[in-house]
Amino acid sequence: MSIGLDELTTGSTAEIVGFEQHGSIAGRLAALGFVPGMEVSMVQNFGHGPLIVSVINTRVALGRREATSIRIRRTVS
Amino acid sequence: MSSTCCDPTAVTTLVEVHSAGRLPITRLQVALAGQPNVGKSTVFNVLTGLNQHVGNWPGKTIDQKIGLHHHGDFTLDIVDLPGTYSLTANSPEELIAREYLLTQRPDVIIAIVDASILERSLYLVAELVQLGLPVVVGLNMLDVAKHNGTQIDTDQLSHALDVPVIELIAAKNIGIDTLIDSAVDAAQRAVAPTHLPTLRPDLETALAQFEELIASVLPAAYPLTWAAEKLLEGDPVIAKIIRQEIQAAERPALEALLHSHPGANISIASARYEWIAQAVRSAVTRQPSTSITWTARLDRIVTHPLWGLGVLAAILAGLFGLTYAIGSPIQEWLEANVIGGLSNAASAWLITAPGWLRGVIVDGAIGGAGIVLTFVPILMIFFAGMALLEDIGYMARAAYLMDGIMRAMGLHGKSFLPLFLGFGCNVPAVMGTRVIESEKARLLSILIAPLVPCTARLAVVAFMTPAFFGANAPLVAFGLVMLNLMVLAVVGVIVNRTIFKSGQSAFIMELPQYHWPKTRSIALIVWQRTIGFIKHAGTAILTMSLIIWALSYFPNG
Repeated sequence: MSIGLDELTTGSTAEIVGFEQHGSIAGRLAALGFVPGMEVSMVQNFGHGPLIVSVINTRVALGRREATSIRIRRTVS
Repeated sequence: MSSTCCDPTAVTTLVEVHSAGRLPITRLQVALAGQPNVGKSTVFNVLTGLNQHVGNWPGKTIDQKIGLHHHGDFTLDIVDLPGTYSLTANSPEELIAREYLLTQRPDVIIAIVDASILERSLYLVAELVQLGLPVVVGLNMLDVAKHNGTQIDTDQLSHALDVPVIELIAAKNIGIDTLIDSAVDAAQRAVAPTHLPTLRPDLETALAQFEELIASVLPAAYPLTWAAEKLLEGDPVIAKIIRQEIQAAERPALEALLHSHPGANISIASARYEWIAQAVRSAVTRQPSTSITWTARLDRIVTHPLWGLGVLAAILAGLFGLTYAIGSPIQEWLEANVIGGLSNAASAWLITAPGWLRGVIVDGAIGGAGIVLTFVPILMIFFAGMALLEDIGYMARAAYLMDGIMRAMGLHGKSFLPLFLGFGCNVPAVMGTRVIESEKARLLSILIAPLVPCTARLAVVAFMTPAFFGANAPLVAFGLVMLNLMVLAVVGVIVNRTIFKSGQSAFIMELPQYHWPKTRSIALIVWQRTIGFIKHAGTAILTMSLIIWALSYFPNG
């Protein structure tokens, strides 16, 4: 079962499964390292507003909608 | 083609010299590419010093920096491409970078990569190697990578990527000469990389189908496989070109193919990351670093919704305080002594001249545009502060914090940066809106940027309020500024709801690692922005002040 990246709590890690839609936003995210199989960890998520994730050693701020479009699977860390 | 992006004649002087292409080549065209925040500008500044020219890419408000570098028998024309994460047409910068590379065919591409975020910054290289041009990689920020526990075997990385990789610490001017040696060598050998990312089998099939379909109609500048892959990725610009060129009979086949692989863009990005991972696996060892990085530590406070806003408010207050504490006395002194002296001298000298001529020079030119120039010291301090915040990596945090408030006005977190620049001067504010990818958010930012109370207007408020309101002046001045900001917000909300009716634009922004400020880069930015402002003052502002003078002088004198 995949969930949206927006549901990942601060400090947790997950594996990217895919995208809700395959448009240009997904393409931009993929270029930044959000590709299936890649590990992401949540740096800051207050449950509302933009959030910060870490992917391949870089911090990326994402709007909530963009985060929701990224599907993930929780991994045990 | 030129209608889609870059006019190929833009850099003619550079191209013509070299177009003969016969040996011995003494003049080389070098494109400097790299993702944002990898130290590309530092490399460019080290190479060209003050020997650089800042213009605009044709038809765009994006800086085009060209510089000269002399290296032994060679003169290198270095073009600093806009920093981009990829070469897909997601933003004007990406379009400019790739159109330049494809239409101008530089002799060599120098790609700057950040060793401390190796995989991510190699992503652009994975795209560059597909353009059929020689590529040399400059592996920058090795010191930071080492500090984070990353050891990179440069020779092995170079072997695995099949391109020369040169170690760099650009901020300390280490490795730059070797990089240029390697670039000159690669340019002379003129061999393009052959080890490229490999796609999933079904995508390879689709790629071949695309190639067959478009081979006869593709403009010559685009490499066939590259264009086919861009179509598979859903690149709107290439798709538009092909749709225009292709025979009517082929159109259904093209459309079917274009829609046959949704998600191919993600698979292709995966293939590029796989290409990177293979190379990195063999060349990089990482010690699990236990220490928390400075960036992580600082961000706990700086990006916190409460403490972060406090930090932001303190920084802004400090910047204003500094601007007024140092800049205002200089401005007053210039106004009283230089401008005052100049207009007295001009009045005395023109004593016998007709009244209108004296008026045009003393009140129009000196009193109008001259006064504007006295604000240059204030602006320089402000520009320096902004450049410093940008350089150390703080600006992206400010944009993140302000995203919610900006969004309420239909803007974007990134709109905050240029709008804040507007407090210094509205001219660079409008120019700075180019960082916003969404066209609607960009237009709206341009529209409301002139409503930001700039230093000159604030100075007028500070000057006029005591004359009318005495002891209540600070309160009135504060109220006026607040009213101004409220008008700005209301205009933003109304325009957004009525004219633009825009959906929310995507918020995707890298928060770069913090690093020590590079005084040289900051000084260059301040210099270039100041020169830009003075040019405006000498042209547009001078013209306007003469018109306003004429309107107030004629017909009654």
